[in-house]
Amino acid sequence: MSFSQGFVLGQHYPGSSPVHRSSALVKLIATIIVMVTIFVAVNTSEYLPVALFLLSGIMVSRIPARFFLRGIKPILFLIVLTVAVQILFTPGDSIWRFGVVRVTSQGLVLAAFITCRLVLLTLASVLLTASTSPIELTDAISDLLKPFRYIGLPSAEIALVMSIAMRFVPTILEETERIIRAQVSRGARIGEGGLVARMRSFIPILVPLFVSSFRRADDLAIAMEARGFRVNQPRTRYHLRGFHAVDLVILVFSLVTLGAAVLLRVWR
Amino acid sequence: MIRLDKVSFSIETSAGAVQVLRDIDLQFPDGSITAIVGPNGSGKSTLARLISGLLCPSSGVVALVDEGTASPPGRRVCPGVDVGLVFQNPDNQLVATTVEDDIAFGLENLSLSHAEMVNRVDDALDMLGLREFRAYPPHRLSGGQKQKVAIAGVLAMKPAFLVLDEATSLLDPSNRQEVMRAVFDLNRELGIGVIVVTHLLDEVLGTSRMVVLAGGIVIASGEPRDVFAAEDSVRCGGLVPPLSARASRLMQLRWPDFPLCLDVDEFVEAACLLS
Repeated sequence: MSFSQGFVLGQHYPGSSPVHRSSALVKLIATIIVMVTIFVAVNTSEYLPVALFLLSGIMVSRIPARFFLRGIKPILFLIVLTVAVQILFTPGDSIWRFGVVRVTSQGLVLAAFITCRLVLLTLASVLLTASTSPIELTDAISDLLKPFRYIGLPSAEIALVMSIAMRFVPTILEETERIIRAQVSRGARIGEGGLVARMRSFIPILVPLFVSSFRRADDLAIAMEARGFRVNQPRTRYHLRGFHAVDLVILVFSLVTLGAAVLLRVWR
Repeated sequence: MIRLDKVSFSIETSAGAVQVLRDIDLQFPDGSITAIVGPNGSGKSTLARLISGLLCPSSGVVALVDEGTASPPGRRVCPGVDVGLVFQNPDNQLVATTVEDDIAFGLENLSLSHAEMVNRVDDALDMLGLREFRAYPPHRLSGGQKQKVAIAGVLAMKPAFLVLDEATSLLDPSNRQEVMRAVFDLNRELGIGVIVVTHLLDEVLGTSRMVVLAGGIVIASGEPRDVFAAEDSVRCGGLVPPLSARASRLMQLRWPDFPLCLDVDEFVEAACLLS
């Protein structure tokens, strides 16, 4: 089993589409606007402009649809669970009854609403991370947090920490797989037995993983110092992004999406 | 030139101060290739960090001085700028999510302009033959390629010296040869000083000078051939000379004029002449 396969959320899908070429900061702001729109919506029809905006983005990005479907796959369980809870426990007009189980029309509407919310949130996140390299994304977060420097928030350092965390995800996953193989070859039974036994079986994986991670962090800190890194020292950027027409289009359309959702609510 | 004068280094532990290095006097001329060898715990890595300016000596001076200057003061070694240090495990020194971003990391720390960074990254990629991997994430590279990326990241900062702290010890023989060949090429083409810290005596063969450390002191120093000729000093350091040197010794028992050979080709040539 490979831990590093199957997770699409957070994965970059390289490309040269206008969405890929646009500023990461603009995409991040647009994603925040879209997410705010998704969260403030109170009925499913308000998701229409959001869905249109995201579908346009997906089509322009030329990222295959299956990449987004793979992104939705991990949250399917959450969707099914939420839908079941909403259908079964929402009071209202009963449309079907079996013993104590009662399905209401209000429950179905709410289930559809929550499903749309979860799917759209996932699509927005996948579109952002797939079309933006991790380093661009962390630079964008650093830019977004820059105003908070004046209240002592180390925005550049936070961005660097996030970038390093992303860099080490595959390394730590490989390390985990290596430790599991080593422990299994020595007779460890990982994930077998009852709940307590299963939890206990992960201790021989977690302890060496923590030890090696701390050692790695120590080595990395020295290696960074050896390459001239100092905390609070001003740094320049290798990646420079200007503000282009496509950035303006993305920003305007995300605001139009928010505006359209608000208008839809007013008209109701 | 990097000059170490009476350098000692100790660390505080719960059991008291432990002396790691004692009274080290060494000089590393510009453009030279020096090997520092010694068994585990001899203080090699500490010495590498002192030379790189990452550690300050407990006593003595580590300084960059103009060649020909009789004594310090010189100026303090600046990590990355004067001396680039490459560590043992490439996985623990690559910071960024792509090869080119990692090479640019040190340049960003130097606050260089964007144009200068682009030029230096391109040059470093070309020097190490990594251009086709520029957009690769580090975890998709082989051990040798990762170590080359680490070297490229250090080289882009244009240091006068490159210190390899057991940088090839985790690599297989072919990757090890590939990395060492790249380093020696850099020395030849750019005149960059190279200090190879290792316990693999085969890596000493391409160097012009060798320093043997044991128990925190220098027990032998000189050209590799001279140091291996005085075999006791190498064995004293807990190290086994290369196979060809040991075989030469055995040959000398029968043919006293048989030369001390440091690699197999040399040995075969000498043996052919003998026959």
